[in-house]
Amino acid sequence: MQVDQDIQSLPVNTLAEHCVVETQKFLDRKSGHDTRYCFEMFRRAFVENNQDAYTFISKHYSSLVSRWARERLPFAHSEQVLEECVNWAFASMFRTLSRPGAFDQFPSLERVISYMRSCAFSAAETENRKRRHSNTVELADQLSSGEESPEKALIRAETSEKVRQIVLPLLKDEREQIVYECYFALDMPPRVIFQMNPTLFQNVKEVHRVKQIMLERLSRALRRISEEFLP
Amino acid sequence: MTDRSSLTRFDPPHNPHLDDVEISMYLEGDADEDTLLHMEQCAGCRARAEHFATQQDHLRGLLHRSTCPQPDQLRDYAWDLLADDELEKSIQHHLGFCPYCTHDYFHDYYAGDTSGEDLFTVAAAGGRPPFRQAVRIETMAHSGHQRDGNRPKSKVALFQGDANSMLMITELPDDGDTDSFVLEGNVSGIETDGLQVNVWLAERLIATCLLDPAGDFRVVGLQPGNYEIILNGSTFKLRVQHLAVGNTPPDEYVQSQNHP
Repeated sequence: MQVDQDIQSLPVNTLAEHCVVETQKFLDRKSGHDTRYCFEMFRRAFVENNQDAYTFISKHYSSLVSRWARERLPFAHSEQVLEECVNWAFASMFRTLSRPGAFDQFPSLERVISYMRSCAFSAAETENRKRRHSNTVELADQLSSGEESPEKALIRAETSEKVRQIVLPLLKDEREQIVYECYFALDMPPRVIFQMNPTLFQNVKEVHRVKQIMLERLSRALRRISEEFLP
Repeated sequence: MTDRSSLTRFDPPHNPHLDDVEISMYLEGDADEDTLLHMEQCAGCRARAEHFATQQDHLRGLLHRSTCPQPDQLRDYAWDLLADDELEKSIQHHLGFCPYCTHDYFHDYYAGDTSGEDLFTVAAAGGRPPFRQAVRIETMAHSGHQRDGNRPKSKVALFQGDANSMLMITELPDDGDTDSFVLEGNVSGIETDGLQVNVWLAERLIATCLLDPAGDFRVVGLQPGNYEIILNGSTFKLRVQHLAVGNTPPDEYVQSQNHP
């Protein structure tokens, strides 16, 4: 076995050959596979910003990342969507782990792979949120039967941050912020919102009252925005 | 044409209809008996309730999780890789009450494998509330009276969170509905004030309630299935990954691989 220092001096293409062989050993359930070559490849990609190492990783592990992402995509999806998830996962992993010191928290290949799996899941969840959002807008359009739907205002708001930018200025006090967050964003029942905030609301009826006021105001405001900005 | 302004909502002698708040309470299951009776008899209020339900469903669909951190932010919080301290504090606060992010954390970034243990250590070292997987200690079925000849009257499962905390869940047939079940639970050994109980089925949040001061909770109307129960608070998080309700075979537990 070579010592790590020797491995660090190997060129990327030699590392790649070893990494492929050792991965196959693992997949064939052969004992004694050596994880150091693949780990060194990750280190070069993220610590040394070595483009060749990054390219190798994104090819070598793409089927694995693709499988993990598919596990978390509950809806029918095209290969293109899956490919976007895989690209997103690798890009996001690179963004985080190429920051100074970040890779120091990964002492083993197992841990890097676990994090890569988390990246696949977060990429899939990002896609899921986008999909849910656009489904809701489409549904709102269908149900509005030709009328101008206020929800169209949020077609452009593809991210939750943009949605928040539209809604936050419409909230008048802490009670409305809590009802917005807990009821409209997180689906909590008014009964639970009251129990969680007994000093802000006198009773559950008051939560309902705030909710109804907000329902009218938000719908009205979104309708106005849609009239201003949408054809 | 009826002048709607003449239908004063807060003047029952002139207006027999429910006001908006009463309809809202009806939609969320908070209505009193008088309201329920009125809804049975009044087609106008039922139509308004339907309109409100559609309107609020649209809005909730659009605003769903709009206050949650982005998935990659939550992931990097879990892995202690966030570079922004303010963001870290805000996610920690959010995780104290958000059922969705807590679920995602357990599910996607703490998946019950080796990284779970690592994350537990990281969380504990960083002074954050640790995320704990509950360990099933015992399951007992009380045969007693059987209503349909197949299922026992009750089933009790006992779980351990850490050295001090215990969770006991009793499954009972729902007397009001022959096809559904009730879960009654009790949490001991921890401060239960403000602790949420989130009940999940097939990746869907089915119910959220709060523990009472004695640490008890009750969830009704559950269909047979494999449920996931998460206790969530700012200082305590515990997940029961599999709870088979009714005559449901438990899900297979799939271990992930450690790939080279």
